[in-house]
Amino acid sequence: MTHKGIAVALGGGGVKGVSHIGVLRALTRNGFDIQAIGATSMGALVGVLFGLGHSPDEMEQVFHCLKRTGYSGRDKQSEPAFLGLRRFEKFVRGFFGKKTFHDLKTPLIVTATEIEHGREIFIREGLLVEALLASVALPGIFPARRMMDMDLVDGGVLNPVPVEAARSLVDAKTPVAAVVLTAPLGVPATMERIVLPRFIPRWLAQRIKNLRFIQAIDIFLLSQDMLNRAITTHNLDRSQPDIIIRPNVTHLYTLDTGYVTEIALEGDQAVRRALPDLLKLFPNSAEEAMQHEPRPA
Amino acid sequence: MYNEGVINMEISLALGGGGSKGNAHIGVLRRLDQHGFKIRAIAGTSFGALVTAFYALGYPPDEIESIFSSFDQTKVYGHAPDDEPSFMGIAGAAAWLETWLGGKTFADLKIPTALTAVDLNSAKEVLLSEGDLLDAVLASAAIPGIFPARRINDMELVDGGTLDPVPVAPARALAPNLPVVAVALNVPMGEPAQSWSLPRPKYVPHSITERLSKMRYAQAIDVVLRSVDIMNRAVSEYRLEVDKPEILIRPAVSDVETLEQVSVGEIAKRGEQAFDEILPELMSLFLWHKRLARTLNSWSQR
Repeated sequence: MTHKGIAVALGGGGVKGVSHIGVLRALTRNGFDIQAIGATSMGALVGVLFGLGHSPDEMEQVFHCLKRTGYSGRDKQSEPAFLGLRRFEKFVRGFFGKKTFHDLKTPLIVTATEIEHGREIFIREGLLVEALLASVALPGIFPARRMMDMDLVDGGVLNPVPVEAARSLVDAKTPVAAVVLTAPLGVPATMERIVLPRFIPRWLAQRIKNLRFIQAIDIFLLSQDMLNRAITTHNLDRSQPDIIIRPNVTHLYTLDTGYVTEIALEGDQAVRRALPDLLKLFPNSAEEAMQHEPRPA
Repeated sequence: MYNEGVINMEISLALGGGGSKGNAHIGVLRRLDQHGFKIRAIAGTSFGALVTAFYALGYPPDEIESIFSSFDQTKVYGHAPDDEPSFMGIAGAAAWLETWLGGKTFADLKIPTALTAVDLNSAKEVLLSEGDLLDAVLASAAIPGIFPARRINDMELVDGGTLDPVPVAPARALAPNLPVVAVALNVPMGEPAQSWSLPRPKYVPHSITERLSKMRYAQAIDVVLRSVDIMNRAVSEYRLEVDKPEILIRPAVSDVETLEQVSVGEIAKRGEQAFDEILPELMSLFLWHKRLARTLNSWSQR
C-alpha cells in the first residue's frame, strides 16, 4: 500500500464542527495518514482532541458531555460578551489541564483573529486551553481572549477554514484537504434566523420574534452569515486546497445543540462522497484500489 | 497639459460604499469632468449609489456638492410607518431625497447605470438598472439592521457593500471595452478596526451616553461591530484583488466614520487630492499602445 499522507484544515461553525469527528474517522479508516491539522473555533477542539490521541468515540463523548453541561455562563472578571463561556472553560480546563502543544502527537496550528488590526494569528505553542478559548471566541457572544498583548477572537472571522495553517506544517507534496461547514454563496439561508431558548413557550416566542427590534437584529445576523460565506469562498479561491470536503450540516445553527452522533456521521458521509477525488490525489493508490475492486458481473 | 496625443478618454466608473466617506466621490467626479474624461458607464454601491444617481441624472459635481451640503445631517434617521424593521430608520433622508429623486426612473438617466444591492433571501448580489431610482438607491444604502431592508420584486434587499464594497465587476459589465476607474473608501487591512458610533438622540445627555458606552453589553456590541468591520475589509480586499480595476483611487478618509456628520466640501476635497495623485497613471492608460492592447484583449475574450 502507498503511504497516503494528508494535512487537513478544520473549519469553524459551532455545533457543525462535530462533523469533523466523522471526517477524521473516515479518513483514518480509508488509510489516510493525517500528518498535520490547521484548525479554528470548534474545529480547534476536535483538532486538539485528535492530536492528543483520543479515539472518535471519545471525542463524541466529550461533545455529549459539553451538550449536558452547556457552554455559556458569564464570569465577573471576563471580557465583555453576551453569553460568556464559563461552563465550556471549566470543562476544557478540567479536561486538558496543563497540556501544551508539545503533548500533541499530530502537529497542530490553532488560528485566532487579532481584532485590533484584523490579522490572522497562528497559535502553535503554549497551553492548549488558552489557544482553544481564543479560537472559539465568537465575537461579542463569547469573551475575547487576551494573549501575548493581543485581543483574540474566533479565527473564523477572517479565515473560516485555515488551509494555509495546515499547509505550513507539511511539505509541498502532501495534499491539503479543507473541511468546510458553511454553505456556498447563492444558496439561500435555510437556518432559522433567530433561535430562542426552548423553555420559552411557542406563543411567546412568536411574539418576541415579531418585535421589530428583534427583526432588525435578525437582518444584521443574516447579513453577517452572508459575509462569512463570502469570506469562506474568497479564501478557498485564494488558498487552493487540494480537495474540499463538505459535510451536510449547513442547515444547523451555530449555537444549536443537536445530536452528536448524527452530526458526526455527516462527516463520514462527506468523506465517502469525496473518496474518489481523494484517491486521485495519490495516483498509485488509486490503481491499487481499482485492482481490489470486484469486477462487475 | 496632459492631453497631448491622448484622445477620447472614455472610462467606466465604480463608486464604492462608505457612508459619509462617500462625499469624496464628488471630488473625484469633479476632477474627472475638469480633465475631460468621459464617463460612459457608472456603477455605485451604498453612498456611491446615491452620488451615482445624481450624477447620472445630469447634475454637475458642483451642484451635487451644494445639494448635499444643504441637507441637515441630523435629520437622516427616523422610522416611517410601513418601513421594514431597523434600528435607526432612514425616513428623514428618504423624505428629503424624494424631493430630488422622486418619480425618477433609470430611464431618466443619461448614462448606463447599475446600482448594487444584496438579496437577503437568496444571498446573492443583485444589479439594479431599471425601475424606480429612489427605491434602488435606498436598497443599495440599506446598511443591514441599521437602515430598513427594501422590498423590490419579492427580494429583500440590503446594502450592496455587504458582499462587494466597490462595484468593479458591474462597472466592467456595463462597458467591457473601457478601463474601470474604482473609488474605494474602505480602510485597508492592517489599520485599526473601527467600531460604529451610532448617532445618539439629542435629548439624551452626554453623561448618560458616556455611561451607556461603558456597560458590558455596549462593549460586547463594540466587539461584534469591530469584527464585522474586519470582515468587510477582508471581503473588499479580496474583491479588488480578483476584479482588478485598471485604476484604484483611495481617498484618505479612514478617519471619517460611516454615520458621522461631516462637511461635504471638506471630504470632497480629499477625493480631489486622491485623484490628483493617480492622474499620471490614469493618463497613461490612454496612450495608443495601451488602448490597442485593451481592444485586442477584449476581442480575444469574446
